[in-house]
Amino acid sequence: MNGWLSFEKRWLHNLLHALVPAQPGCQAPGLQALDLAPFWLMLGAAAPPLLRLGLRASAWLLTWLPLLTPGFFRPFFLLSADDRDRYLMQALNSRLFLVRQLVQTVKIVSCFALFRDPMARQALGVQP
Amino acid sequence: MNVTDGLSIRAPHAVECDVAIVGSGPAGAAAARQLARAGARVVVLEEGPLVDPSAYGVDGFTAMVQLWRDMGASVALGNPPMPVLQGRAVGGTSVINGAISWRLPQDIWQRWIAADPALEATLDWNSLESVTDAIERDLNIHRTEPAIAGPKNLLMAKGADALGLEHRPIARNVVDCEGLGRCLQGCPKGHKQSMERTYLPDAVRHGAEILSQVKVQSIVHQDGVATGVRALAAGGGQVVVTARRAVVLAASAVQSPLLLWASGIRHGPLGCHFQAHPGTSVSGLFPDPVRNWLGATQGHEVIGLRKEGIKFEALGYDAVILASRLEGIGKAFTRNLNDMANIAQWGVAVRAEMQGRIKPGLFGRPSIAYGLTDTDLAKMRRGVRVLGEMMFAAGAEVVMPGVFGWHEEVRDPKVMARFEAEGPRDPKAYHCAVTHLFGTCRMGSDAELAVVRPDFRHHTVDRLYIADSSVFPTNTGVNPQTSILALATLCGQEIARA
Repeated sequence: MNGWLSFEKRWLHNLLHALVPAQPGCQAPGLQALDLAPFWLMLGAAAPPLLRLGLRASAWLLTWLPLLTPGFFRPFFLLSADDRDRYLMQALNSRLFLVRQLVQTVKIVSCFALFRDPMARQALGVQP
Repeated sequence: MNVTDGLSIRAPHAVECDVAIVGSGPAGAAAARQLARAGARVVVLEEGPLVDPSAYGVDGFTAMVQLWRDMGASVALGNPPMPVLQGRAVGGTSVINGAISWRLPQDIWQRWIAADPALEATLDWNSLESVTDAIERDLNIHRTEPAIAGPKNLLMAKGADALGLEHRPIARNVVDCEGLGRCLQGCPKGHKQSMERTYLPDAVRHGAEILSQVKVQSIVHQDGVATGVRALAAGGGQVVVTARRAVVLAASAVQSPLLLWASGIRHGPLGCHFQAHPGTSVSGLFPDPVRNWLGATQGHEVIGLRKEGIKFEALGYDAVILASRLEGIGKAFTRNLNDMANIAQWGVAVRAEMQGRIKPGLFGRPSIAYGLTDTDLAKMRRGVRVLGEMMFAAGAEVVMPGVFGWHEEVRDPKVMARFEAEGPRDPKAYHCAVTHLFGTCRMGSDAELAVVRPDFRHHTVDRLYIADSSVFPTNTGVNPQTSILALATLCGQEIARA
């Protein structure tokens, strides 16, 4: 994504990897196993301003919000894999619309990335 | 089809014609074809590219980048915020819609005429019917055959039957459809009779010129007369089109009012009365594979509640959209992806009473204010309840209403039946999207209450016409492509006569 600082990209990747993790018995490969560089290039060139803003806000807010959240008290990148999962589920069900929307935005982007990959599509039984 | 790509226009470029048409979607294409056939020298300017079907992306993301305006992420800000879905390509939204074809319902037409009898001079019922007959022949509009419907459409028929709701296969503008389920990504085999395959090539055969990737910036007008347009090509060249007879706006109910605004033409309720069909979807887990992404993209509809302003359609898109609506996140979400093949997704669209407005926003982008009224939300609740019940009646084991603050998964039809009464009253609990946009340059005889006259002419600027759904006095409650084609054809006839 053009204009993103390297640590912002890392934060976003952390979120995406936690959103679609590799799991035994699951057809979907984890996002961590995929080469997302072509996807980011395409998204960077095409995303409208509001989507860029939403993604950046998601990266910042969802990275730092756990620091203020009872039961976590750490930034997202310092949470264990299980805590990341638990935190994201809590954020998805937040009473705050904005928080829910930010999680939903990253979820949609992670699906875009997953379903753009021919191997992932094949693994999920969708035409590659 | 011969199209001049704006990428190749790097220097100032001047064009002379009889009629300049802004937009190449159904409205622009129908007007262009009508006028070119009548012997006018027509130039069509389109902001988006002409994409060869062989290059259409198989995945939803690539298609959204290629063919959708703002990747489908233009947002109406209101309660709730909702994405506004439009195409941006030669052929406009016809390239990425479900090919659903509906005649203008007579009850809607009667409301228009009752509110403003002067409309009947142009929009008389017989003319509309006769023009629509021709459109149905031209575009091979016919009901979806069971052989290509696929399980999601056939299950909807079963569910509606069980509930005693009127339903039918959807009439679509397709030829030899194979049920690839890719209408919304652009048909890779050209079976969908979208405008870049039908009316635009016909207009070109009759002498029309199409400029793609050329964004019109303003309408040129002097002393109350429109004389052309100014545009910027993707290659950087300024394009000036001089139109001897007329300028026709056909850029959609979002872009047409913005263009008038940018041109200093601000007469009447410009950008007001914005109406649409907001909708949401419900998913159901079935015992057997459905593969929602296969079969006729949108091949079945339930019309039993249409007069209440509620209409149901089977939905189809690349699996990415279905996946993004699955419950959960992280490990739970990845597990849920295993069930994806057995999930069907159906949608409810509402003829909403809400009237929003469009005006210029930041950086030349539209500011869209639109939400749901209490009545609209009540229709949405009713729609979700009926969709859930239809899914159970069709054999679903689990229904996922997708509404925040209510059961994520429903396993008992009796619970689903309570949704209408118990479902959340907060619009933000619903995942809605807005399609079918109307009313921002409303047609009418009263110059104070309308932007264009009943004959599509602008009330204050001569030789300026508007042909798209922005002139519709209200929303229609049904998919508007055929109505847009019909009205734009009548608009073309008016200009040819003028």
